[in-house]
Amino acid sequence: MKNTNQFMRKNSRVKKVKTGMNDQIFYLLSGLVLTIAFLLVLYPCIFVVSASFSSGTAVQSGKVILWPVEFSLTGYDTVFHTANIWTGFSNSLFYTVCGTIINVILTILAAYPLSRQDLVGRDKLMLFFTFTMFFNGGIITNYLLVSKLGLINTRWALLLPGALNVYNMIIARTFLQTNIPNELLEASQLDGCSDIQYLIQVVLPLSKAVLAVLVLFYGVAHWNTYFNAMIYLNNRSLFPLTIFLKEILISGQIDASTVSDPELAEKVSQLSGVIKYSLIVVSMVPVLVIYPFVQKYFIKGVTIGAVKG
Amino acid sequence: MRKIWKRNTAAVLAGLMVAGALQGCSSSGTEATKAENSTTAAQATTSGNSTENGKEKLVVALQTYSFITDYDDNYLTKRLEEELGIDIEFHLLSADSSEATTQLSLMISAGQELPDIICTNGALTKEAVLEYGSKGVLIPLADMLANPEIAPNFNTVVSAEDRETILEATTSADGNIYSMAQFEPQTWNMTPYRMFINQTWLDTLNLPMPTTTEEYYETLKAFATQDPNGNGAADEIAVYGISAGTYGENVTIPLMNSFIYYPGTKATEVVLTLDDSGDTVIAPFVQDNWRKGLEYMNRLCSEGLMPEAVFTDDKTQFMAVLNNEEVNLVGALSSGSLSRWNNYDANANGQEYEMLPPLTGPDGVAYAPFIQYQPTSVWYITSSCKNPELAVKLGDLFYDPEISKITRYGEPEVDWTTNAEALADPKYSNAYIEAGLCEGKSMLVLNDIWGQNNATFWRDINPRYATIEDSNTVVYATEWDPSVKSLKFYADNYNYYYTAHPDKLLPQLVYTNEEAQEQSEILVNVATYVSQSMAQFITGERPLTDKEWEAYKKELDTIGLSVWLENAQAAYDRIK
Repeated sequence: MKNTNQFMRKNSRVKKVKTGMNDQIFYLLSGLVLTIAFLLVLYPCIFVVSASFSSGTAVQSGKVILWPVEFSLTGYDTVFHTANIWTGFSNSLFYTVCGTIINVILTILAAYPLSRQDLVGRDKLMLFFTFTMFFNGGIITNYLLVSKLGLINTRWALLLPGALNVYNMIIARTFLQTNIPNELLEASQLDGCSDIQYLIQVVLPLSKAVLAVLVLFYGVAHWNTYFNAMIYLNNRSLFPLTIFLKEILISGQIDASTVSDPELAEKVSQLSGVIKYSLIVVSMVPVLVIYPFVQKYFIKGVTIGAVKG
Repeated sequence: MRKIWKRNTAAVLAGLMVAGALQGCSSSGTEATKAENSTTAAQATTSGNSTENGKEKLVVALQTYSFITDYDDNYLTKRLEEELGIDIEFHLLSADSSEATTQLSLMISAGQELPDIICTNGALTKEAVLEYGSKGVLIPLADMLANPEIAPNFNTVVSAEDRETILEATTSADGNIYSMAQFEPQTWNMTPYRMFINQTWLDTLNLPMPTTTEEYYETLKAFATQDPNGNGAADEIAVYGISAGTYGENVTIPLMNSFIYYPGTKATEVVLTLDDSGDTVIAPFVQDNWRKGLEYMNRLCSEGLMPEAVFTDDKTQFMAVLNNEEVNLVGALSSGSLSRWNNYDANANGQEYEMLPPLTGPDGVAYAPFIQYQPTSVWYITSSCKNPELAVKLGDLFYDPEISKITRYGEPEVDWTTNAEALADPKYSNAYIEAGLCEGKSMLVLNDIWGQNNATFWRDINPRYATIEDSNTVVYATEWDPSVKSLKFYADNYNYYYTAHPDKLLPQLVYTNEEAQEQSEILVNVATYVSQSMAQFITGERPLTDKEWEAYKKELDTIGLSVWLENAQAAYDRIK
């Protein structure tokens, strides 16, 4: 036992030497660069969390650098006592869940036929889809459309426009094309399986990776949705969290030329300085919680689509 | 076989669950649609705008504020509905003015039915109002405003002089009035460039309060060299401010006013003034006195009394310096708000300062920057409104003295009171009254709801009328303590700065469309160049020689300053 250990150690040392100077430098440098990149990404996150646990005055006068200064929970206290935050939270949750379900169903319904070799006019259909990635009507025409459809100030305004994202559809199509062997289709057909049955019972169970990717992409997009909500909704009971977040951010910004009483606005801004950070944390948590569960599929799904596309 | 059956059941169950979830979505979705349908239906059927209960309805597009938890179940809304016997419905606009602008322009360009009233404070620029007005999207209000039956408060409560000011400020370049305004001048906000000097340091060094620019220079010199904060290090900043400040922190502006009158502006703007005769519009920043001011500040800067950080620091850095913990670092500064010091009344650094009266320059000039009060347009009535008279009536209701108090201070007898008995209590007072600047108290604020979450008012995004006397005679329900500096400063500010400006000031000019278009780019370029050059001249990066000064003036001419001056003169002559 001892011998083997020694042998292995020896062996590994030999291996190490074999990696050579160049490789070592490479590993060192890449490690260094990645560490720096990691820190650059990490710092803002830590800062936001620390600032959210600090007192308003400490944040305002720039005392918070890495760790919380003058620990306080005022920010969270205010956030969780604002009735609108809960409205925003439940609305965002609603838009994310329902929106994602609609998105994923539509995307699969478009991606699956397009992945089938025997679909007539497949290329032309694809061209039709791709065209929309490069050209669109602009906001005014979109607004007109949504308004003529009677969706303004309804929940549908955030669910239906953009219900299918062509980019995500292409990822799904490529995945289905490359990962589901044609033989499966033939075999199922021999067993008397219809197209729908084949899709639900064979294709989907084999496509969990890409489904996870779609859910994450669409889910995050819905959770972060802001612009559409801003232009299509005008009733507070429908607003997603992002709109309330912006409202709070705005209350801390002061432009003396438009505010009739800057002195009063000043007083308010101190409080909103902390609320801002607490809100960012609060709104980030759901995505952060879900992400690790989807992550393993996430990388697999996207790269498979990319390499063999 | 059994397995397949099992799997099928599972699939069916899963399907049912999904369906259930979807139904959940759609049912709440349809509810929302239903609600929407009913409102549109209401809008459609009510050419006369009446809801089921027979009340007329007005839809107000209102900019939101995050502190207001509810607009429908709101004290002010209910009160307004009661007074006029109407229903108010809201179409909420973004709290961010530039986004509210996008929302409005989308609605208008989509040509859909607009809310009856647009109530915003900043989302519609003068140019946009002119454009929408000329297209007929906004309707002219002048005739209705002049009619005491439609606008009773505007014609009785508002004084003739203030009415004139309001009408003048809201008149568009095409001669029409498309808005109703908010009128609430406040002395504290009209002179935000408050100069402070460290009284403790003056006492330590046994120096008098400086009164001229030369004495000021000597004082600063002493601050910088004699270690007044007593920590043995030459870490004192003799005079501090930030040119990027939005509320009186740009210390170069009050200092310039010891050489030439220059009213305060935003950091990204420059303004024109009048010459001594009050007839000609001039650009102060090309006058010889301006150069003297630059030379003076250049001296402060080159001797290390004014740090270059004045031109680079931001608000966070400014506050960090002011609130330095071990010792106070700043000898003199300019700041509009005392909240730049954390918790001012208990802030050891902040308590060391006294307010400094305007300094007299070498030519005897001692002005204080004065921001003329401009009524803000807030209440616009759209062409979709079936009953514009009612919309004006509602706007006019805000001018009612009691409603005007509610829109700023909240619910009567809960948040404030005018009860004579309560007011008579001698322990409540304010600096204006104590200093004999105002007579009598007009109201007592019991609970300041401005910084609280509430559903009591719209946080003053609405028309309003309150005179300077009205706001200066408000007292708060905390015992008056003359030793509290933050309170005393109100009187100092009034005494030192309020009248320290030329008699004739250039009023807000209204440009025609062509003029505005011609000069829009020029304005931006001139502002950028002037503030840039100011920093360069003061820090010494650009020497203030005759040659450079001439080059500076020539460059401004090339940018188009003369075009702006001509337009401004023409605009001034139109209203003179």
